Amino acid sequence: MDGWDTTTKSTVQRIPLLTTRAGPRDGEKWLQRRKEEFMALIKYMEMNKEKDNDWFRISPNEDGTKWKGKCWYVHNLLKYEFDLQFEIPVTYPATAPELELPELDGKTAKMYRGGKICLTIHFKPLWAKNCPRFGIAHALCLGLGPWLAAEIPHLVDTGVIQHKEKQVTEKQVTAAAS
Amino acid sequence: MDFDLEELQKLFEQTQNAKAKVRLSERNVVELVSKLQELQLLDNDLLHTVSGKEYITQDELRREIESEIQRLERVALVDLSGTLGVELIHCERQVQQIVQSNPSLSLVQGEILSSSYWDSIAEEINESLEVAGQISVGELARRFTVGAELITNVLSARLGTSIHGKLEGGQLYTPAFVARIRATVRGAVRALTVPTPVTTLWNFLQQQMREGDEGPTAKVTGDGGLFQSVLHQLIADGEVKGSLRGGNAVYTPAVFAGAQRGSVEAFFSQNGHITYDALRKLNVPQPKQYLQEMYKDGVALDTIFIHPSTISQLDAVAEEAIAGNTWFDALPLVPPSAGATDAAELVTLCPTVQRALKDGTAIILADTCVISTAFVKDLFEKSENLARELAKKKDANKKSNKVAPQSISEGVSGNLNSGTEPGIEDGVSGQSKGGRRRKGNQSSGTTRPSTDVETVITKEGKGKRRGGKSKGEKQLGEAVTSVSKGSKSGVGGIGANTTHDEDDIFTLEFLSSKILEWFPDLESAGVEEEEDGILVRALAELLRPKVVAAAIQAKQALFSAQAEDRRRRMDTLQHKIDEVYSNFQLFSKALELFEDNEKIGVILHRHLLRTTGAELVDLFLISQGEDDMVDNEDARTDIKGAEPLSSLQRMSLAKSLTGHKLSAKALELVESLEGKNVDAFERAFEAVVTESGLRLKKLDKKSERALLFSYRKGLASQVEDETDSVALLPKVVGLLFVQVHSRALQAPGRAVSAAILRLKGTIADDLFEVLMEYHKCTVQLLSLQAATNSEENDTSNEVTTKQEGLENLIPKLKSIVLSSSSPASTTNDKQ
Repeated sequence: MDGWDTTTKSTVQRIPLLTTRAGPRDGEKWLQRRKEEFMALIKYMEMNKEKDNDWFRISPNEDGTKWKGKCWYVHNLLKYEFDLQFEIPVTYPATAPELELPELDGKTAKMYRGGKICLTIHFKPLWAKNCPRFGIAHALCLGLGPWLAAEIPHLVDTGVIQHKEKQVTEKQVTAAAS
Repeated sequence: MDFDLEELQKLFEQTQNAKAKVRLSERNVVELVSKLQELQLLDNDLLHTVSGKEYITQDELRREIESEIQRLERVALVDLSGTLGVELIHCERQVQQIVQSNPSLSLVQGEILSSSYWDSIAEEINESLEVAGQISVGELARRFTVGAELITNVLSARLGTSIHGKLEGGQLYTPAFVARIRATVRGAVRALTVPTPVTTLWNFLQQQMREGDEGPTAKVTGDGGLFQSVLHQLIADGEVKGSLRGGNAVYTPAVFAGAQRGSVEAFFSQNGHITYDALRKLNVPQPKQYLQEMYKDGVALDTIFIHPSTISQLDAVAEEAIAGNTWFDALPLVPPSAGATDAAELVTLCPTVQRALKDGTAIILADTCVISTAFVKDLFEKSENLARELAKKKDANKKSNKVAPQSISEGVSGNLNSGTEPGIEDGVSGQSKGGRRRKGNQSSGTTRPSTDVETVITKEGKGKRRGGKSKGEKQLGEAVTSVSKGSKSGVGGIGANTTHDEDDIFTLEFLSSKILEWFPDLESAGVEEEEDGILVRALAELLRPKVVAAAIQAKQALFSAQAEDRRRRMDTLQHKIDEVYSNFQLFSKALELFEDNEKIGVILHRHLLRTTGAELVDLFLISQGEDDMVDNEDARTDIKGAEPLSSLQRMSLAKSLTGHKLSAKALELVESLEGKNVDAFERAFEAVVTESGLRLKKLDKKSERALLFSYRKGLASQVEDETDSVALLPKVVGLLFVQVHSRALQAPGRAVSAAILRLKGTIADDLFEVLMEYHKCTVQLLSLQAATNSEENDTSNEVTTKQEGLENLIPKLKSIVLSSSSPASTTNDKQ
């Protein structure tokens, strides 16, 4: 657990661990697994709200293999919001879900094709080691959170992404000018 | 884990949609607030609490403070800041505003006090005052921990309304208590008849009150303020008669002050003076000021207060004394209780004396005595005369003292030092004086007369000395031709001693006693001190230096007179010695003619020594011994009686001569006189004379001739007048010798024949014959006469015949001698 800052680590440790080793194809077990996932997510969400650190919204499809939602990051008092989506792989939980930020596809080097974010080298061994105890909540906490904290300020500073409101105002300004 | 999946999903939704608790960091909040302030979205200034975690608006703070004041009525600012958690300075600012806007509040020494608080306090105080009768403000201030001044202000504002009492000197009293104290004080003060320190009075009263009733009154102790004010009031109201003096420290009853004043006035008007001591006895603390207030024109002295009339009295006396050239002492004239210093001051206050002092017509001595300068002058003249007299006396005294063998021996030793006679006198006088001084020391003022007697004696001695001296000179003149006496005057040596002597003689005691002798009434003048009056002593002190100077002067004058006298005497001596000595030389020359004839020579030598030599020696010895012998009357008469001294007398004289050398030489001289050698005598004589400080004149040709001439003249006239046949012969022979040899021969009878023989061949034969004849007759006559003396009448005829024969020869002889004298002398003179 070396690659993360202390708050992240402490947060992760407080997210309830899962017990059921089951993927989407495992039927009843998958149901059980999903229940556990929800429990963990609820807990994590509660924790975030408690700490005024609410930063994402997700909701699954029917069978719980695809999740969609939003995530955001506040930088310089501006809220940058992105779409978030990911699928539960068949080999789940042995394989970690691949988190996607399609809006940022092609905008940063720390990203695979299709907007999948590149996780740190530490993530995969940690996930493997903690299989099946880690779930979606853990993946978000350890993966997406730190990535956003690292990348968004950089992207904003370099001007790759712009605040939406600002974009709007700029547009208005140009429109008015023209 | 019993939840359904659906439920869980819903729950998750719910959880996600639930509003997130806003979690702002402090930093953010601070930023937010500052942003708000920046945007001026907040009306008032925000304040921080002490913890720094809270903001509070001014209005809220004010509300809180007001409620706090309302609740507590008395709030300390420090407490306020503590309870509200707001910094003191904000509280303070707010409180000031509150107090300003609310007149019933006051901010005192960091405390907010509402008037209602004071009201309640006043009530409390009033209650306790009712109980105690009196309370000190200090105590109250302590009880309520308020400044005494503040509480005094508060109390005085509420006196008569909520507090029923009297505030007096930091004490609160109930009127009843005050009335009681007043009654007590009045009683105590009215009972007083003598001045009493107020404090002792208070102490006594307090003690009594404490004894009277234990309890609240005991607290009166230690504060006489009420007493004091009550007493002041009583005095002002005229309820007690008296006054407070000495900075309100002493209460003097009017009756006492009146009595005091009355007695002072009575004494002063009666006596014209009053001492401060007397006033002190009458309990007047500052008599001088008191008297000066009472009598503006009085004179305040050190120990006494005097009416100006005393000064005018003194002044009159002073005027009289100064005008009358006398003196007066102020001491007996001033009141006896006045000290010497006061008397002195009074004297200087007299206008006449002041004027006289300025004019120099009077002086003040011994502090209190005024003496006119004329009087002092008179006194000085008297003492100057005395000094002169004393100097003379002393001199005489010295001389008379010399008689004593002791003094002579001392004189000899003195002579060793100075080699002169005055030295002796000095030593002697010193000794005698020393004796007197010793005596004077032993006898103080009372035995003074003895000193006087002594001085009288010395005076007599002095007179004797003077008389003796003149007598001695006369006597010397007739006794022998002249002897020279040498003495260097030792005035200088004496002078050195003189001052010292005078100091000793004119001691203050001596002078004072003398002054008393002259003016006996001076005795009591001045302040008594031992036996002599101090005035006399002061006078003596004043006069002493002058008198001593005068005495010294007189003494020196005397000495110089003596020295003059001595010099004169020495001159005459020198003269006489010269004269006689030249004769002697003259005669001794004639002896040379007889050198071939030893027998005759010896006779001649001896004769010369016996006559002229003896004369010389006597003259010298007598004059030399004169100073030693002056006062020795007996010795002098001896000398006077015997014409040529006997050899014994000479010896004793020589021995008594002062100075070893001189004496020894004189002895030698006397011995040589007994011998037969003129030369030896001459040498000895010369030695002695030079020793004694004189000199001998050698006979020179010219004077010799003059001398010879006069001698011849004398001889010729003698021969001419001579009727005695026997005496004629030597003279004739002498005259012939002068004529022939131009030598003056002194020949005794035995040598006459030899002399005649010697003349043979040099004078005419007939003359020689006559001479021989005459001589033979004379010898026969003399032998006959000698025989006649023994055998009486038998040969008397023969003698007469012989005499007649001789007398016949006389004219012849005379004519020969006298006729031949002139041509012979001229021829001889030419040789």
